[in-house]
Amino acid sequence: MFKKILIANRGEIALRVLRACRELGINTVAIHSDVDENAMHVRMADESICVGPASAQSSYLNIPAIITAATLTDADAIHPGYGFLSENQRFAEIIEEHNIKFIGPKSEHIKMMGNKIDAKKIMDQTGVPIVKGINDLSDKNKIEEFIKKVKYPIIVKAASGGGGKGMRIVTEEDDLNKAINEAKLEAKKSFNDENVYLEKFLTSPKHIEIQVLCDSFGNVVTLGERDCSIQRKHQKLIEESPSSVLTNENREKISELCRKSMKKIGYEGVGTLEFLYENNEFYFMEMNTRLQVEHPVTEMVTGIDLVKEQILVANGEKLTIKQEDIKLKGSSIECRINAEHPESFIPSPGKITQYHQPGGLGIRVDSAVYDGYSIPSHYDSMIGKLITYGATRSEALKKMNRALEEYVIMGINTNIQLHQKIIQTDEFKRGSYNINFMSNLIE
Amino acid sequence: MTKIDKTDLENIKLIIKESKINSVAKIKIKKNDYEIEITSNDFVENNVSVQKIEKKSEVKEVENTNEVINEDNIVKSPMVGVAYLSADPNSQPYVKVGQHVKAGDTLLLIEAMKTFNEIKAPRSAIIKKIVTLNSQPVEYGDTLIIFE
Repeated sequence: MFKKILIANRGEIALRVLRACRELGINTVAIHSDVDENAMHVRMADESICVGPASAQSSYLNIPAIITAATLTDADAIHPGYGFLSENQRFAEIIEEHNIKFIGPKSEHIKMMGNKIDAKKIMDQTGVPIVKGINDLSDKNKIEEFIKKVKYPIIVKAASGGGGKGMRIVTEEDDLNKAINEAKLEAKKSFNDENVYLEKFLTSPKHIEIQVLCDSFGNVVTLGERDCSIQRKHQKLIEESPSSVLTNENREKISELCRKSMKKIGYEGVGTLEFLYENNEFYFMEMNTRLQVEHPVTEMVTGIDLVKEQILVANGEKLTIKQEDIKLKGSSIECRINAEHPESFIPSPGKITQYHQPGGLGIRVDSAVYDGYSIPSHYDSMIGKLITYGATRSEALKKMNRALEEYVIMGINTNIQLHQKIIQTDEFKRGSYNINFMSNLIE
Repeated sequence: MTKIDKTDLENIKLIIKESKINSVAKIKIKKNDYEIEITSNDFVENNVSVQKIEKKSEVKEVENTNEVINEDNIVKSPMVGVAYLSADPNSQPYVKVGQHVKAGDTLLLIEAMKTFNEIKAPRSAIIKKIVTLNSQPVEYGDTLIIFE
C-alpha cells in the first residue's frame, strides 16, 4: 500500500482526498501557494510544502515544483484532485517517469479523451451513442436519408466554426437548403472555410452522466447516474442522483454500454461519461478522466467511498465491489456554494467574518473554509458543497431547503439565495428541468 | 491599499499655489469621497481676516478638485482581482486616453476567481485617464478609469 500521498490540489477536494488517506492509514503531503499558507488542507496535512506564489500558473500548475516537492517528501503517489493538473497528460507521464504513481488513468487515456473529436469517434466505435451527424452534403439522397433517420430539428454547423458563427437551426424541410447556403456564406466569411455539416439538434436535453470505476484487471463497474442539468455558462450548480426522469431500463441500458466501452479501451480508475439526454435517447458529449466535483451524490446513494476506491485501484488492487452489489438507494442532491453575488454573479473573495455550517441527519458539507478564513481571489469561486441525502427525493429536497436556510456565511457574498430560489421552483421540484433552466430563470 | 497618484500631487500643488501659502505644516488625503486637507502655519500667523479668506480659498479648492473628478466620471472596480487593459498580452488595449467610448463598451478586464469580468462603460464618454496599470491587483472601489 502507498505510504505517503502528495495531494496536488487545494480547497475542499484536497481535504476530501486527505480524509480518505487518513482512513486508509496513508500519510499526506499538502502543497500550497504562498497565499494558501493558512488554508485548511495545509493545516490538516501531515506535511506541507509551498510550491510557489499565488498565481495558479506558478504554484498548483507548476509541474517542476510539484515533482520536487514529491521527491523531497518521498511521496510514492500523487493525487491530482479535479481541475489544475488532473487531466494533464504530460503531468501524468512525468510523474510516472519519476517512479511516482499518478492516481488516475493511464496517460494515453487522458490524451484520448482530451481531444473531444477523437473521444467521440472512439465512443462511437465502442458502441456508445453519440449525436448523429452527416459531413458529406454533396449527395441530396444521403441528406434526405439522414434526416429521415434523425428527424427535425437539425443544426447546420461550420466545420471550422465556433461562437455560433455559421450555425443555423432548421425545423422544417422547406428551410433546409436556404439554411445550408446561408451557413456556408457565413462560414466562408468568418473562417474562410465554407465546409458545413449537419447534426441532430437537441432543443431541451438534460445533462446526465454515468460514473465508472475500473481496476487494472479489466473489472469495470458503473455507479448509476448524476443529473447535472442545472448549469450556468457551462458551470454546474446543482447535481443529483438518481435523476428523476430515468427509468431503470434506460439506466441499465446506458450503463451496460459504458461498461463495455471502458472494458474495450482498458480504462483504469474513476471516470465519468457525460451525455445529453432527450426523448429517452443518450448522446455522448465527453469523458472526464478524473474524480468529479459532484462525486458525493453518487457516494451517498451507493454507500461507496469513490476516493478510497480510486486510491486502492491505483495501488494495483482488484475491485472487490461487484456490479450486482451496487444498488442506488434513496436520493441525494448537491448545491455548489460559490463566493459570488446571487444575482450579479460578481466574484466575492474576502474574509469570512462569521461561519456556521448546517448539520443533522442526511447533511454533508464538503468545504475547506472556516470562521476567519480569507478566500483568495486567485482561485475558483467554489468554496464548498452542500449535500443532502433522504430516503426519497422529496425528503432530500426538504433537507436541502432547511440546510440552505441554516447555512451562515458572513463577510462575503455567496450564491446560497440563488440555490434557495432554484430549488423552490416547480420545475426543480418536479425534476423535469433541462439544461436551459438557468438561462430561463435569469431572464 | 489605495495609492497616491499624480492627480493628487497636482491637486495639492494647485491648492498651495492658489492659496498663496509659503509653508505647509500638514497634508491629509482621504480617498473615499475624495478629500484633501492642507494645514499651513501661514494661516495662524496672519491676521484673522486674512486667515478667513485663506480658509475660504482652501475650501473652494477642495470643491474644485471634486469637480475635476466628479464621482460620475470615475469608473470604480466592482470586485477584488487583477486588472488587464487588453484581451491578451499581444493585443491592443481596449481603450486609450482621449478615446470616445459608448455605453456598454468594454474598458478593461478584471480577473477574479478564474473568471474574466468585462468592465463596461456605464455611459458614453471620453477617456481622460487610465488609473489602473496592466496586470495590477485592484481592490473593491479602486478607481480604474476617469472620464472627461
